[in-house]
Amino acid sequence: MSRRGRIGAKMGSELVRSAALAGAIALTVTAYPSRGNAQSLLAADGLGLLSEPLDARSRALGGAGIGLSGSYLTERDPAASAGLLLSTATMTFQTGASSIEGGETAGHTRFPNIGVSYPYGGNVFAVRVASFLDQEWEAVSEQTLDIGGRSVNSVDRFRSTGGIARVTVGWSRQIVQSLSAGVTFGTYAGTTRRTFSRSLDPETVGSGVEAFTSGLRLQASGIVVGAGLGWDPIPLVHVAGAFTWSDDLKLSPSEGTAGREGVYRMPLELRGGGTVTLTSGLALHLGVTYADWSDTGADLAVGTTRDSAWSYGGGLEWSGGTLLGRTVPIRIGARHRDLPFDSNGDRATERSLSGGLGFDLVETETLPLARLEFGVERGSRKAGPLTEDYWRTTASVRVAAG
Amino acid sequence: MRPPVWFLATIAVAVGSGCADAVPTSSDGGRIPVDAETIEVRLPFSSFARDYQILSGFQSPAEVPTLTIAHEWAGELESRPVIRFGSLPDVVNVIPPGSTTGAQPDSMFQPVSGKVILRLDTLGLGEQRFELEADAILTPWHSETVSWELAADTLGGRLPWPEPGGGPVRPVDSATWFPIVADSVVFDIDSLTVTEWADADLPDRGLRVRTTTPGSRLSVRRLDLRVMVRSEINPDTLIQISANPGRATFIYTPTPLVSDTVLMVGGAPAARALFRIELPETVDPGPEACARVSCPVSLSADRLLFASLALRTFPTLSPGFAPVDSVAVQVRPVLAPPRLPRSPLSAPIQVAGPPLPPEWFSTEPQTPYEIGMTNYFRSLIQPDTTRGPGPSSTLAILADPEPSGLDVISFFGPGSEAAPELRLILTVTDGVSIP
Repeated sequence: MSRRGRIGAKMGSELVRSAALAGAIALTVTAYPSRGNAQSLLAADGLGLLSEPLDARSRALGGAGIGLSGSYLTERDPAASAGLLLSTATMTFQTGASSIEGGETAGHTRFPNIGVSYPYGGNVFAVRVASFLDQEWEAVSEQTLDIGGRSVNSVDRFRSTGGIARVTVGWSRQIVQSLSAGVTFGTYAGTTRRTFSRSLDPETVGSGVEAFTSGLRLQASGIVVGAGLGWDPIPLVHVAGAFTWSDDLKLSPSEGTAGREGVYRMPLELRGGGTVTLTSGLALHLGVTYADWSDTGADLAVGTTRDSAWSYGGGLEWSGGTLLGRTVPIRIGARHRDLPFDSNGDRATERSLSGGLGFDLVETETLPLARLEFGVERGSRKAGPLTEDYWRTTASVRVAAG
Repeated sequence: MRPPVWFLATIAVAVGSGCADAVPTSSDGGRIPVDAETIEVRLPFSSFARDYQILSGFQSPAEVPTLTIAHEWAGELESRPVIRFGSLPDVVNVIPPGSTTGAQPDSMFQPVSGKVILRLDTLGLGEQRFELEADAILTPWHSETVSWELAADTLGGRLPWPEPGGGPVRPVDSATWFPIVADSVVFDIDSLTVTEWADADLPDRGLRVRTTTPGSRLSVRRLDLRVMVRSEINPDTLIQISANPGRATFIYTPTPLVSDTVLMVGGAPAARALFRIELPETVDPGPEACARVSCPVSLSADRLLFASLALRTFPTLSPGFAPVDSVAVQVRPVLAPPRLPRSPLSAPIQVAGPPLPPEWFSTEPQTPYEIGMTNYFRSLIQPDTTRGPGPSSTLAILADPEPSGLDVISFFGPGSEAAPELRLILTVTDGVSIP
């Protein structure tokens, strides 16, 4: 084997070990303290809880997933992948737990952002799977029914499981040194199961009483198109803007289940963000999104929406720290988000404080080959009398190879 | 390149601990986007059942685990066990006089005397005394078909007893039994009778037991014949041996009364109630329920939460056959209705409940009793074709076990004031809607 070959093999081996280490750390850190993905009872309203496909870095910086420095692979910023010179795979793993006031703590696990990119001839092609709507929730009601003149205890249970994601293919390219562009095209995907059951007390009804169950399984579909630009007007400033346009979201009953199709108009979503390098190693990041959900609200069978839903936040990233010879960026951030679907007629909002770290596990002089990002959020959601506090941990692993 | 073991282990631990699922749950019933109404419907027997009939003659008293002795029980019941003992062992082992080599088989032994030991159920008998008689049967009889009137009732012909009730007989012994003193009665048997009973070629051999105490009803749990035999190779030696198990049954009179308006099961031979289910496509739950749901209500399997046959107990028509102990019933589909009464039955379909206490059929009539059959009716309405054909729509109600004894249990039947009903509980919704 030539010397170049030995160096390449050694580098590949180090990359595998580092990727494994990154994955293990990410899984351990996110899995240990909490159970679940900051699920919310607000998922019961409208089409569900908007589940943004943010990676750990965006979460830590309180951002909107757009306008961060460097190159990365998210559905929120189609142009940001233009600088990925090596084939890259990224995955975000997220867990969390929500404490509902007067209720239980609930949690779940998600993979909100998964992507693969491949550069070719100055172009970068990517496939992404991004979370969109979380529809995991349950309501239980205990009551006494009058059945044939007898008082019978019963338990009604409604459970919604599943969610909706966006699967897209994308293209991006650096137009000039300071300007890049990207587009995405894809579809909604995912399945939601809605099940109602009523159980009667056998002590009062009689032995052999069975539960009543009725269910509906809905398959999501609909076209999604996005585009974005990234621009460095001066060397210390990076800004980006993007939009996502969507055809109607269709929820169609799966084969074998009865029910009618739901068709919902989706809003045009606008996003903007940017990063300013304040000092050597210190950067300020800001991001904002906007969408008008009024048309969607008109299509809902039950519930209302707010017209304008804003999301904004920002944070600081300090890259001066090192650990074991590696750069370890430290991040803090804060964020506000308007949730589009009202809860029993009350406007719903979400606020959070966040922080996080990054590790470049393998890097060349100019390129990180294996990177681990970690973010943790402490936030709350409010909608009228409903209050939820949540912890959410997010880990992203990015591995590149050429 | 293989991933390191520790990496895989970490993934396993992380997934196991981190992926625990807990859906956020609200106790606010207002969040449930389904409007469901649960109603009860009671269908009269005539609207869901066809071809009702009571069939008797299933099994025989010979299959009842206990024997009944009765005299003027409830003023009417006479019951007498008749027993045919098995043969004696072919050989006994005896040590010859002066032998030092051990026992030798002796097939020429001679019965000298015997004892019949009856073990009786003492439960609830108190300080009463009972006069019991043991008699030798003198007429050939058939243990499977014997009855009060007939010694045999086979395809070869019907042979009546010269005297109904197993007579004539030759008295063997009598005894007075005090339940508070002992649980057994012993009859002494002479050598001639023992020799007759031990001869398998004699069709008229057998023991008949009766009581002469009016108003008595006794249950024989166990019955043994023990014989003292004299050895031929050592005439000074008497040996006690037991007869091999034989056939035991009982004969009784009168036959339980039947009525078209009484649903009766049990007895020995046993009676079964049979009918065919023919459910309507829609049901009318009545004005109160119709104020909440759209009527008539379509009857579908997914709406059905509960289905039961609602019965009310009826005093047993023949008091002598009123239950003296708890009796269970079961409902089983008839697999081949055209072959009734010889059709096999399928497995019980109801959820096993507690047995019915005897007072329900004497001092506490009209007690409601329900037999839950939800899954059966769900399958009947919407058969699971992946598991083969649906269940038979013809049902048999019978005692469990069958036969369990002379006890006959009765319910108000079709056409009576408290005829059976089908109680259905249905939940009606417009289904789960889209968001």
